[in-house]
Amino acid sequence: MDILRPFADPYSKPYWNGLREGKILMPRCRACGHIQFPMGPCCSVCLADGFDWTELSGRGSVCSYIIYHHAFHPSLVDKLPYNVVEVQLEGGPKVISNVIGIDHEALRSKLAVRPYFDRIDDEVTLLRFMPSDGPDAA
Amino acid sequence: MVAAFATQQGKHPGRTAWDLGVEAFKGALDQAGLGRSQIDGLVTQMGQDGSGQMEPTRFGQIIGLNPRVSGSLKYGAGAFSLAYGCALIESGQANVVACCYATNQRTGGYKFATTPDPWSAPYGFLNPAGFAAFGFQRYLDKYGRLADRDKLGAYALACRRYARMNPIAFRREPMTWDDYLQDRWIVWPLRRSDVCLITDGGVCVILADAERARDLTDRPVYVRGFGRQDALRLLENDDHLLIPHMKSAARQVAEQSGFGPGDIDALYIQDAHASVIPVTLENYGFCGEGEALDFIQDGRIEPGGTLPLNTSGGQMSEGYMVGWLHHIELFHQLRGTCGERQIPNCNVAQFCGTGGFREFALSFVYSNSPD
Repeated sequence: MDILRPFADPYSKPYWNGLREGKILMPRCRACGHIQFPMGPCCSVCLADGFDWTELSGRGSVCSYIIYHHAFHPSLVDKLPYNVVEVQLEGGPKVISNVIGIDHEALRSKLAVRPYFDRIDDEVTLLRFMPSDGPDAA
Repeated sequence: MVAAFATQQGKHPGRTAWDLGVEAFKGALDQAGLGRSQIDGLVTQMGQDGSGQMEPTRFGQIIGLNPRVSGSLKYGAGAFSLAYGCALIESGQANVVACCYATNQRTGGYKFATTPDPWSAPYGFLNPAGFAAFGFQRYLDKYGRLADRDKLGAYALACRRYARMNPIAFRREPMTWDDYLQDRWIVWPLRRSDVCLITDGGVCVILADAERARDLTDRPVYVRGFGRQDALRLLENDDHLLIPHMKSAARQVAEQSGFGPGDIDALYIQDAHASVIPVTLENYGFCGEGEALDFIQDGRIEPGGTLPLNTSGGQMSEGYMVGWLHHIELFHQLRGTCGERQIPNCNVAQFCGTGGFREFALSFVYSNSPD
């Protein structure tokens, strides 16, 4: 099994399907409005079990950032050094990801980012980010 | 605690965890002058390598034991297994409990990067060092201390100074500030020297209720207080990277023991990564928030310092038995038998641990006096 390949479960399937279409879909609790991430059978705030899948803008800001200089998996050797960030999504949860198109020296907390839908193959698209004010910003 | 034994840390080629576990079990029995038949509870921590080594039923079979009760926790690192052993005694399920852990993870080549998680692994976020690095970056950023990153090196250097006085430690060669500053990054902002070793070895701690302990040894070490707080909401918790739930464990252990930070003669922090040291010192009240990187300078935590920390060399230099070695050491410090590295007048020791990916926080206060 390739541990770097994401896998969907019944709770997260709409999220992964959404990424393939360039959309960030998250479950919003019908009872209290909480966006539940990671997805599960109920809302972790109020324990209600009904959700509406809601689209997020994917804009957010970097909370924390680190730089890997050691490959903990053979397929990552060629990618060193690479960053990993924790991003606070607007109106949503914190997620782990990467920021592309940035020098590591320019990474900072509160950096504004926008989504980059990174198509890996027909099945998998990953949610990565790029600086909001990058050269090819929309 | 009536006995606490650890094998030599390092490489034990050709030996299994079972074999190292037996060595530690026999070592602890000999230390206390106990017979195997006096053990009526068996707690093991299973290896983290997925091999099933140290599974309690098989280990009981190997050491020929029919205890009243045996078991193993899903997360049983060091103090977590000891807390389980204490609960067995407090609830009357056992009188004398042997708590055992052993591993051949170094010569076995175990890699700590095998947990598939669709929310982190696809982004290259692998190994516990990643979480630790996140926590330290968040810490430095929150307190405006990014320029002071290298002050963390005081911890690895203190560990090495203690390890040089500890015959069972794996890394005992001298280490200088230059060595530290030239060390490579693993995951910035952590250098190789800020990440624990991987060692083979075995440990055994024998617990008994206080009255029974006095019959078994003339110098028991007493549990004086305990605190525990879990934070299973993980990323949904505010500022989860700074392990704020430690503060709840800190309040519980201080209230139960009556000992505060100023009463602690020796401090033990479970140190998978050096970055846990600053947040633990602050969350447990040993110094103010944002102050720990200065607090650990100038020998304060080193041999002869006012707050001796991880006095056997910690997991940076002694060995990696996931928090067990700290207990072996504090047991002998409180009995005054640590030779060259003995802390004068060491009567109260505290252990502070985290577990899993920092979702569990736990603390024990121990003393060589029952009251």
